[in-house]
Amino acid sequence: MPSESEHNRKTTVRALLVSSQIVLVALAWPAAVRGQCEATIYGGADDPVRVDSNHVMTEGQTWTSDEYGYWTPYVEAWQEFMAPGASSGGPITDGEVADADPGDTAWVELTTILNAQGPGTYWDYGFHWAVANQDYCPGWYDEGFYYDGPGLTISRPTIAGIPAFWWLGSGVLSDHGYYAQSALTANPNGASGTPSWSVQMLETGGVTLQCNVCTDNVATSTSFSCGCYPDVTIWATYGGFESEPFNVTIVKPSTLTLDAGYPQDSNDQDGYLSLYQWSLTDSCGYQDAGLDGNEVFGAWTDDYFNSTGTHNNWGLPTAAQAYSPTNLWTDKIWVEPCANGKPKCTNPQKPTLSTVAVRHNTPWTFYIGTQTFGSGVPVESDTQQNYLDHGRHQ
Amino acid sequence: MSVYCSRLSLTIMALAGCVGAFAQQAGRAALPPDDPEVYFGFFSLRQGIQKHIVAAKDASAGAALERAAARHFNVSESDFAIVGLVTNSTLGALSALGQEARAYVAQERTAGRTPDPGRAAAFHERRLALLREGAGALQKSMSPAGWGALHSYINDRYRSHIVRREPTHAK
Repeated sequence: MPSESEHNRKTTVRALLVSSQIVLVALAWPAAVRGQCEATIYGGADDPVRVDSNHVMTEGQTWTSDEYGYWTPYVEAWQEFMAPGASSGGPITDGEVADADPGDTAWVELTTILNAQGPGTYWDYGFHWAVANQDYCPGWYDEGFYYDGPGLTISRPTIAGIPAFWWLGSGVLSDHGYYAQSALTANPNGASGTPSWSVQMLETGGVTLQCNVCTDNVATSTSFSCGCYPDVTIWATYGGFESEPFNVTIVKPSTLTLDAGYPQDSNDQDGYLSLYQWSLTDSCGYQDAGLDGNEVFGAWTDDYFNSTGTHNNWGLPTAAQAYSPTNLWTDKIWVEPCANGKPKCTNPQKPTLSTVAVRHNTPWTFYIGTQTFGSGVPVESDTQQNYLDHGRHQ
Repeated sequence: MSVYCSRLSLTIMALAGCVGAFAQQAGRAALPPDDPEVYFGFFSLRQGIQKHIVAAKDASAGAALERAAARHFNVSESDFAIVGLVTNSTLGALSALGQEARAYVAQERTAGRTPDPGRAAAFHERRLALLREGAGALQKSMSPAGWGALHSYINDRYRSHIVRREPTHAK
């Protein structure tokens, strides 16, 4: 790729070559010939043409206007490029040379694939000159000139939409203003046609798109991001010209943290009530208020039978579902009344709680995002244990 | 260029290279509005784009380029097609005229005569007349809005990116 200095050198060499001929011939040539060799040389470049979404074409042209057709037009053209924010640009193609018959146009067009080169400003840089027929116009020459054509600035298409949305469990699309979907709109930024969409998913995050070839789309989460950073990238591609990446973080309700002072054990008639309270946070560490939740019991094991050979007859609890206006969630483990119970439950003993295990279920699982049992995002899974005088998650 | 040329000028000034070079750079000029040569350049540009359209990999790519080119010139696709027809007609006539002129010059040279300046000037006048006719044909054939947009494009945008110069004779 010739540099500016090489261009200059090339031009000067051309001048020297012509000039050296001039001395030899001009002295002997009659001055009357001059009128026949007058000409006007035209050169320049039009605005670059956005051929399609993914191609830009620049052109340079030279032509001559002379009455005798003694001048042959030439053009050497480069396509130049300047990246966004750069203070200067440079050639991205080799120089291409063309000539034409006198009276016709020497024309060079150069086309670049935008997706490979990227956004920025494109223009034609050309050297325009003409060569006289030295048989009839000895001593006539044109040193030519460089011309920077006008630039065309290309931007990549973009995608507009909410870049962070929720994973609320399989099949759960929303819950009280928490959405597992994001409406996306492609902005062509000068590209044409209808974009095709693609997704790249890293690590655990995942989405599905409502349509593959469309302008407006809907992304639905299919899993959650690993941590609180984007690991899903979406593109809308117009004719091979990719949009700027649209990075998505899929957040999920993730953690129940037991609040200080819990569990609290209290009397409940002749039995007990053990109260748990947790604070819910999401994978970005924020507290999430106003969600639905539900619990699912696992398989029950009769600890009392295993230790005594007698089956316990405590009634099984009913799984609960609820909406929490705050990010606080509670679970009550209670047994009452149990006057006829086997074994008989008691109020919480002081100072030391009983260690007699009666039964447990595992895994006890708590889901966030819906009140449908077993759906949503599991945020806690443990063993729920009943003792004679208290209950525990452990 | 000027720095390098100045250095060289110590040795080759007598050969007149740099004097001419400076004179020519200074002699670059814009074309006046509606100059016939502006239309020649534009017709050539339109023809070059047409070659690209024809050479497109398939019909849909060609059609896409045609639409893009129409947008580029701010005209409808139907007006863009009319521009193509006028372009072909005008450049065809100019090509025939050029061949005729060159044949005449060659004939005179072969016969050892200097071509008649009057004939040569007449060829040139015919060239300019064909270009004016081409511009007139655009105006007549295109929709008024299309012609208005194209006329503005040619004279405001395209013309601003074309320069002319006179070549030099070493003395």
